[in-house]
Amino acid sequence: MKRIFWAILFFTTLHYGGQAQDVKVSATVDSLRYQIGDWITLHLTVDAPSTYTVRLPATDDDFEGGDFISAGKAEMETHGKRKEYRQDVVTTIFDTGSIALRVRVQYTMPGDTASFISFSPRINFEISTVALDTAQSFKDIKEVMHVPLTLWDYLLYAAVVLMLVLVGWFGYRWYQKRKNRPEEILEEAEPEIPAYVVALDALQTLRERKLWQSGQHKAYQSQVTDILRAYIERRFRLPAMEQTTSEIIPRLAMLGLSPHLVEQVEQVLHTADFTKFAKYIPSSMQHEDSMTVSVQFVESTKPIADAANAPAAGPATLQAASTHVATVDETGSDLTDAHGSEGGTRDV
Amino acid sequence: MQVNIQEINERIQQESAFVDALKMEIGKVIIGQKGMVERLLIGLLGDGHILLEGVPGLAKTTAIKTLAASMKASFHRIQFTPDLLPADLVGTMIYNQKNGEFQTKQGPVFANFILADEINRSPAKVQSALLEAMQERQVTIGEHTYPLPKPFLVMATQNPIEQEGTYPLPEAQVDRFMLKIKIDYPSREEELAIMRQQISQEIPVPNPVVSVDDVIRARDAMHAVYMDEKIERYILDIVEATRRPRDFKLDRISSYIAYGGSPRATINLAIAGKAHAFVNRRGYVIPEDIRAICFDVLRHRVAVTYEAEAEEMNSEMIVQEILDTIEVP
Repeated sequence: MKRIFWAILFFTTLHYGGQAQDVKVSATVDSLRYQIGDWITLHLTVDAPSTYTVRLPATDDDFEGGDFISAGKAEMETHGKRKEYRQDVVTTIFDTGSIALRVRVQYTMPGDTASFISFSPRINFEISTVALDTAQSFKDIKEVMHVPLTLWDYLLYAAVVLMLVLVGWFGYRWYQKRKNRPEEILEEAEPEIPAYVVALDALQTLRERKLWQSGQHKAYQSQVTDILRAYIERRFRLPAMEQTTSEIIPRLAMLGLSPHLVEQVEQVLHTADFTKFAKYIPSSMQHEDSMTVSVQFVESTKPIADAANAPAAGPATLQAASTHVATVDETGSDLTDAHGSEGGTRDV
Repeated sequence: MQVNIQEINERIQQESAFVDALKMEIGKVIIGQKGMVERLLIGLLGDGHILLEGVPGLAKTTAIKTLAASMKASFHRIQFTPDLLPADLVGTMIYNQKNGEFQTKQGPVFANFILADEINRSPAKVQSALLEAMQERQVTIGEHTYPLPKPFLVMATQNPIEQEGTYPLPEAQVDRFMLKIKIDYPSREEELAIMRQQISQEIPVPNPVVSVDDVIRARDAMHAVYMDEKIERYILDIVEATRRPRDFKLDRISSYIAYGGSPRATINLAIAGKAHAFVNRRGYVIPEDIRAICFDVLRHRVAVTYEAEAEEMNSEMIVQEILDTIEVP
């Protein structure tokens, strides 16, 4: 058993030793004495079978005792079944004293993915340190070196100055223009038509269209309430267009309006709701009441300041307004508008 | 098509007569929570299901038990737990040793009223089994399909305060609930009455005042409730605004909506609107009906973005913004 083991060991060693000997690496140098950090050129020669793939040293790992700096162009010559690679490799040593350096070359054999290594023989360098004369006194650092200005430097300075002059000139021109510009004449904004004027006009137009008289009950009631809700929205800043009857009425009541008037408006809105959503056909009197109450509500709640300028509303509105103001007076309803957003307080 | 509102109104008045009796009977046991009771009736009439969200102890179970007891209808309560299986819910096939055949054992889902308590405590497969039954109104066990009884109302509850160890319902499944109701605490006076009722020896028992046939007839009548085209367009505007808020000048909330209501939202809003009118004994729908039910129909159908969550906006606030912006017809 022991004999078999030794036989296997012998043949295995023989096999690998034979392989390693297939690739021969040698390196020569110009000198063996260098200062620390000097660049050392190694003249590397690798002799290998022509079928082998050789990777020449190219990293720090390929140098034992030194650091890789650069590699020259590799040359190759074929001698029968062998190839000879030659390359100058620059290395450096950052250590002092006697330093042994050797180079590593990797290669692969055909039909084998394993990578093998072959080393050059060790070269012993004597690396000396930089000689220091400690007896001398310390020297100050050198003065800043003054480089003479070139033509391009002068051109650059000239360009910067020119640019500043141009910016200044354009700035001055802009300032002068702005200074001499005639003042803009602001056009007077067209005065906003008061909500009550819009509402009364719309109601008058609706009346003239005679919708319910031609059987368009739903359209008539929808438009009456739309005008009324739009007026409430503008006049009292209530989102009446986005609210239902049951939401509008309590909020109107909270404005301090006459309960009787709010009740009448509620009736108008309810009649419209029945007409719009329940196919209800109001009587002629109900249609007339809707119009009358709407006009009455608008008239009763218009701001005092605007009421004084009422003629601006147009003849149609005035006619409608005067007709229905009488109705309001007859009802004798008292109304105090303390929350109006368009004007002051009005008592009817 | 000619619509005679007077006839509809008379029919609704007649068919909805039981609503007051039912409300009164439920009111004997449930103090307060009028909104919840009304929505239960809307779900019952609209043939939809209800998801209830509220902290424990707000009479969710009692409400549906009382409703079932007031109606001569069968009632099953299913406590959803993490180890519940679909077969525990819908039923299974069991082997009969006497005749050597498999027999169907129907699960608790076969009842008129189902209380799926804490539905989010069970995994998705059990939730799916129930939601499928809710949607199809039938259950397949083995080779046979069994229709569920009519009326079939599922009231599922969710507890909003404990989320650990729960399986939140996916949005697609939540959409199958017609209404999602949020229940709040009773008022001080209501709570005083509840306390007095519970500590007294005489806890009222509801009497059956409505038959299942009454409900089925009422459903037919409810569908006859008149809805004007203006209301239909109003519903469309609301639901569309949840999908394309920019089209309705709601740019400020457009980045808060991940996705809006589905067509099922539109359908349910219309049905719930009619049912609301019916419960209020009216033969036609008014915008108030839609606005009253809008939150319950849309709050679980409008998904908010992370941006909205960061801004502490929820779906209800979004619905409120929509209602405040869209013109009422």
